Amino acid sequence: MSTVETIPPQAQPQPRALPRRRRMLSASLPAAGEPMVWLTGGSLLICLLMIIGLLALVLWNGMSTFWPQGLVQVRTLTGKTLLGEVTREETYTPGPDALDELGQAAAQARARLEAQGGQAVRRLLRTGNFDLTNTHFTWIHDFTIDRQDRPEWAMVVERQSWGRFYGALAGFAIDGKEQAQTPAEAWDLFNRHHDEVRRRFQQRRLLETDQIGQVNRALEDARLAVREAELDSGRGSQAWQKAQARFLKVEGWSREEFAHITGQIQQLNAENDRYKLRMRTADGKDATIALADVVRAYPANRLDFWGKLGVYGSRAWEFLSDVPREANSEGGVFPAIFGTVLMTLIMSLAVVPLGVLAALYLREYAKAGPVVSAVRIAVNNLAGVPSIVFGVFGLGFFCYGIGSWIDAGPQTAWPRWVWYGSLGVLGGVLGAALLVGSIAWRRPHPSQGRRSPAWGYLALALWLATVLLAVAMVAKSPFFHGFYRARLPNPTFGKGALIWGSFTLALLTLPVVIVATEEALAAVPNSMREGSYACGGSKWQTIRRIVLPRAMPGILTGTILAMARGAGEVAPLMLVGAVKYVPELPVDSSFPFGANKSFMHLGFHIYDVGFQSQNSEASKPMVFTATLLLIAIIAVLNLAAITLRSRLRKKFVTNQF
Amino acid sequence: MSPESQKTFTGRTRQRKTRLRVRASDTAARALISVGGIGTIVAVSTVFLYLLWVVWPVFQPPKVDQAKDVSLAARQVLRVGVDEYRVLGWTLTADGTLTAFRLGDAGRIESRELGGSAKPTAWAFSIDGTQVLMGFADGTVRLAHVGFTAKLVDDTDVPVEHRNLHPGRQQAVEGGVLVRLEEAFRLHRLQVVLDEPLKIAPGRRIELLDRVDRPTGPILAALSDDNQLHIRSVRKVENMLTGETTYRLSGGKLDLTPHVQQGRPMRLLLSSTGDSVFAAWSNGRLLRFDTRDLNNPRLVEQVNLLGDASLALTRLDWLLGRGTLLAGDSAGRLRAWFRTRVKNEDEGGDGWALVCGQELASPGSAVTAVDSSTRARLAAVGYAGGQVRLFHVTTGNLLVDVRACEGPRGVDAVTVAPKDDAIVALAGGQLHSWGVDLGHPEATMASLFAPVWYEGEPRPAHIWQSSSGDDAFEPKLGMWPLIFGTIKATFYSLIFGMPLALLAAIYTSEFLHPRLRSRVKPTIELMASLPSVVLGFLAALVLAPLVEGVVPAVLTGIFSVPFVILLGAHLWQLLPGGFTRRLAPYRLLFILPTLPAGVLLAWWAGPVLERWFFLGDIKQWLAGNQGSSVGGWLILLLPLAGAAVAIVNSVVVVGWTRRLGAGFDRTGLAVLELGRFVLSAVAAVALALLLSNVLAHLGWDLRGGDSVLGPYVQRNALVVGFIMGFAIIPIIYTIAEDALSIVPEHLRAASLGAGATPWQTAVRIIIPAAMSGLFSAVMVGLGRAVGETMIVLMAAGGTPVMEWNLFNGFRTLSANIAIEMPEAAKDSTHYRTLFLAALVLFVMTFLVNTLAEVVRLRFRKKAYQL
Repeated sequence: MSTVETIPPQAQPQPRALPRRRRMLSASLPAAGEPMVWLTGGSLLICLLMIIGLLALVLWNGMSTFWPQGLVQVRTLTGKTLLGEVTREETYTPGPDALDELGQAAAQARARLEAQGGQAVRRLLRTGNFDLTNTHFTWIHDFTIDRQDRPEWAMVVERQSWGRFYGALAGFAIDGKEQAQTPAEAWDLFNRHHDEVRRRFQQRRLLETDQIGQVNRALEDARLAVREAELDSGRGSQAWQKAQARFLKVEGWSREEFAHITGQIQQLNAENDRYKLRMRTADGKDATIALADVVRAYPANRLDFWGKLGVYGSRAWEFLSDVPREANSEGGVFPAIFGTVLMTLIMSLAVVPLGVLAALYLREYAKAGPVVSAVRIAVNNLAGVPSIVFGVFGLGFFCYGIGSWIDAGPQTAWPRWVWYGSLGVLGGVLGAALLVGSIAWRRPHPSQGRRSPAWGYLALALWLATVLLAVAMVAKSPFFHGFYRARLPNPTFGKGALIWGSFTLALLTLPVVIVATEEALAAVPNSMREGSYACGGSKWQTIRRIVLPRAMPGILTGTILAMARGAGEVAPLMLVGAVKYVPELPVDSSFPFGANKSFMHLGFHIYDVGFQSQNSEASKPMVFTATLLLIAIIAVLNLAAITLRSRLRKKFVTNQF
Repeated sequence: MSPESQKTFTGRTRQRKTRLRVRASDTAARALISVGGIGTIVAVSTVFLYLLWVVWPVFQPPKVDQAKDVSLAARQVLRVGVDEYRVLGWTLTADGTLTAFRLGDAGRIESRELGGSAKPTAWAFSIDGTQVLMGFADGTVRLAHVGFTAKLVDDTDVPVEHRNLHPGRQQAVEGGVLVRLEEAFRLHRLQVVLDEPLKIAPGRRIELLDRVDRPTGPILAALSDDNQLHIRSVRKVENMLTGETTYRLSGGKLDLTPHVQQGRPMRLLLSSTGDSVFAAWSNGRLLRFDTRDLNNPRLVEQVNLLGDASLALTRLDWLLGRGTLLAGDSAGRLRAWFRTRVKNEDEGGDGWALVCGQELASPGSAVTAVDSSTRARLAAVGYAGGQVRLFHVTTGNLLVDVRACEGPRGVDAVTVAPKDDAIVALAGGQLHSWGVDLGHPEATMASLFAPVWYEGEPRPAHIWQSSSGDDAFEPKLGMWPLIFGTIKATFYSLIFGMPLALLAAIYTSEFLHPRLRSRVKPTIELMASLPSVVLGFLAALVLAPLVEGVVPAVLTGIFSVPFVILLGAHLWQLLPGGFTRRLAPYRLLFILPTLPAGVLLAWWAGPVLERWFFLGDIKQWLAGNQGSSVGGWLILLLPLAGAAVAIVNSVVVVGWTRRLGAGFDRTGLAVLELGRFVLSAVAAVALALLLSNVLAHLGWDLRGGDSVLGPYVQRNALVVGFIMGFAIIPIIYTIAEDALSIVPEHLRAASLGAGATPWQTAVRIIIPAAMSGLFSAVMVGLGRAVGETMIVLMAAGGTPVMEWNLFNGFRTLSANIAIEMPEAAKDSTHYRTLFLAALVLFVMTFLVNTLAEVVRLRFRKKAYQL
């Protein structure tokens, strides 16, 4: 950087020039501000490390949840025997009263504690057997351990209810007769029979939920038909009598059907009840577990790597494909995955067309001016409005407003004369709007010069008034009494529902799509539009054939970003339809196809299991796994968007002309 | 030349008219896009309007219908009652006659003597008026349940002559009123059930009495004519064998003779749990007896309710919940008194004292009748001048002000209908009723945003406590604790997130290799899309327990990590210049080890400092007032001292070192710089220590109610600040980085060309040029922090307290909505208040974001002009 030479001599006006002033490289040491640069660099590193650390934490905890661990059997100095999995270990300094409950063994423990210099290690043992001990976890302090080993036939039994069971395999009974002499034989028998027993169990569950559900629904429909007839034409009318007769018929049929299904269930139960797993707990109690109640069992200390991998795979598959059990702390999250995906899809179906329309209008049709830039700022800002505000709006407007209207018609309808009167007003406003609109839209004659924009604004105002009045007339119609009057007071749409959740999130993500689409439209060079016009293309032709195809990747990016935001959003959904547990999927074969059902959502699932769960220690690993899944879904969506965006940029870098 | 066609030089005839299909599709597209676009934008902006629309009714004044007057002759009326359908009413006169009548035309339905042949000598009523307690001259008391029954009757059970009644009309029948509904009839009747008489003061006339129900059984208080105060707890005992029920009375009595020199008290009242008995004289004197031990009542407090000897107490009644006394006087004032906690045990008190929390506006004539609503804290008041007023006692709001009659007699009795939809007053031989629609009396601008003196509180305060299982609960709808929580969360997260994000953005745009930049930026942006529920979960279940164990180390780390980074930089300068310049692109690799070093230093020094300054246990130190307050001041003053030393350094010391090091070579200068840094660090610590000691000696302590330090709670502002800072870092970072890199390259080149170092260029050229962009980045980050829900919901503990305490939780507007919205009944005050919370959030974020956006657009324009 030898710029000194290029400066002409007269550009050095100083009279007391310092000809001998030597430039010193070293003088720039404080000027280089290296410490401050390090501080900025350190900040960047802290940010990066926090992200990486967080992702690594979630990844590690989420991935390791399903890995089966060995079982440890511990005998304490007080003679208690415990069997379980070690979940946590920590070093601590025991307080003075730590030895109090040890009794005679206190001296021994104290000696050990002193040998360790007052420091002790404690481990949190997951001991399960909640039905017997009323606890899931026990702390084990190392100075109280008398003996510790890993029994070969210690089993982990995951049960349908009551959580896990830890104990030694004692035998296998069929019809109450012991069939196995050794644990190995019992294990063989278990493997032989478990699959078919579980198959019967699943069959029974299917009967209980699907078939009985179908019969119940038919019965409920018939009952509703009676109620509807009663509301429409009064009790005792012909329609009512017909519906009543049909109801009685359906009731009779359903009774038979119930008896039939119950018979089948009993048969399956009877067959399943023959098989029992016999276990012995660590403290020597015998326990019998019905085989049908066992989801999975394995001798933890006998598993080799492949065996463990098998258990891991089976648990992971259950997680992805099954419904939750044990108050959401075990089992799977399939309904939550399904709910999240379905809601996100419906949301994008709603948000993309609207967002693209709004962006097209703002970028291609509206005349640039203060109004449009104000609208643009407002739209940008809506992206920053807290999501919970949208949730409140969704609850009030969609659930309690539109939903209740669909259910029961207007809460306070206008009197008929008001309604007819407003019909007349509507006609007037509509006519005025058409008239003013036609003036505003007419192409001005060249001789007239520019027409004042007031006509346009007036037309817009009139059209808005027309629409608002029409909406008000529908909302306050005295002739409409709801589609689901018969079901009242149980709301059908007037509560949190899949469709309301999707709409709320669509509103929330609308600014994202509008902004992204606008950016994509702005990135299409004007020269391309002008070229199209020059070739005689109309505006719409230009947009359809030239602008939209070029902007498509950008629009897609916006859509995907909106989906990623929507999939991770929980706060508004807590108000408009996400619930903690519905094993049934929010789909239905008949109208409204389940759109009015509450649904499970992965994000809400995380909140619920992490915070509302009774047994939060046991459910924490599951929360990590659900978190991992959610992050994975969102990361995939985001990466797709980022890739698309960089491709789009490259394309336009080369296409610029 | 015809406009349709024209010969071109190719000889082909060109169609100049656009084809219809193209034109039609163009018009259709224009219409669709305009309608859809405008519609979408309008729909989005309705969010605000809708919120406003729901909130609006909260601030609407109550509506009062025209009075309906019917004449009703009754003398010496003690009380009026109305049923919930506003079909029937009753009056009770002092001679014990209960008369039921139709509200519509005052037609009498039936009368009965409640006391039978004996004339009651004393009366007491429950708040809702359905339980009437009578005391007699023989020392017995008897409870009467006065109520109405409304039962649906089929057409066939109705007398033939009434079957063709029009819907909505009523018809008097034997013993009741028949109301025609759409499909059936409803029969309203008066129902009176008398309990067994109980002997309380055998042989003595009962002068005054009161009764409360408790879950364990009722408690009675009575004053007999020998001036004995009897307190009795009544227990119903059922004989298993005979099925006979007997009542067992227990309790004690107190001789009031020393207190009745100026005459007998005019009122005797029992508090809601029966733990206090109040006796009031008409000169305003009120004695309060502690009856927690029923066998030994004792006098604990004596106050004058009026504070003016010229006035007389005319009414003393309970407000709903029996916690607030309404004292009406001859000047027309109605004052609300309630108990609040004080320390007066050693002066013979019971730890409580009565305070006057509210004075309701007087119309200028004496209070003659008071009635409390049964569902809200409303009091209807009748005055001697004939006015009838309805107040909301918590807020002191005058809701209804009507006039029943002119004349000297004033209002005899007043009552609020059970559904709070009407006020009924008896005055001048007329029964007046006003239908009212009160709307939302408990929420006003003042009660939402100004301190309110709630029942049981020692002073007016901002409190948010919206619901409870109890009917008599006083909803406390102060929004400030929530707004405060929001600000607190934003403040602590900005303190953590803003410097990190801005510094990281500066490094990324000015010092990072472009290839690395294209990797780093998306990584941090990826962080922005992390769902906040994940961050909240990690904050609450991973970070909060982790931090709880190592508080001193975390506090130390805030100082030690930057210190070690700076120390590393100074050591780095000791290396030869050529070497460092060549390795500058890989600087991050050398910074990396300083971070764990800083953490390790904190890990090691934390417990040591804890022993030195915080008694070896910081949580205990925070909880109580043990130990010296030096440590707390140190936490606050260390950053300030650091900043002060840095300023002194840059203003004064830099010149010295430059002169001192004029002849030094690079290594010499580096050593000099290192020395300067170490000395500055020592000076900062010494300065902070000195100031802390001075402040501590002055007796000032940072620990305390409204200060930044206080008792430790696991889920606290530190944890939330950390994780929410984490959540806003990517937003601030992205926008700030964009703002920095949009500064035109020629500015950078010119500065570097003029011989400035990259750091000088960054600080003196780039950052000033990008300042407004950086500001808007911080604003957008602030907007996000204000509205963040899940993190605070999970990690902030959720108690709406107003404390700056770094180690305490809080509740933000957003978390409050998430917690309470699912339980709020549609269109209730609570529901609308939550909408107001949403509206406040909306407005807050919208303002902040608009500011940021306007600044950003300005900045872009400026940057393009540069």
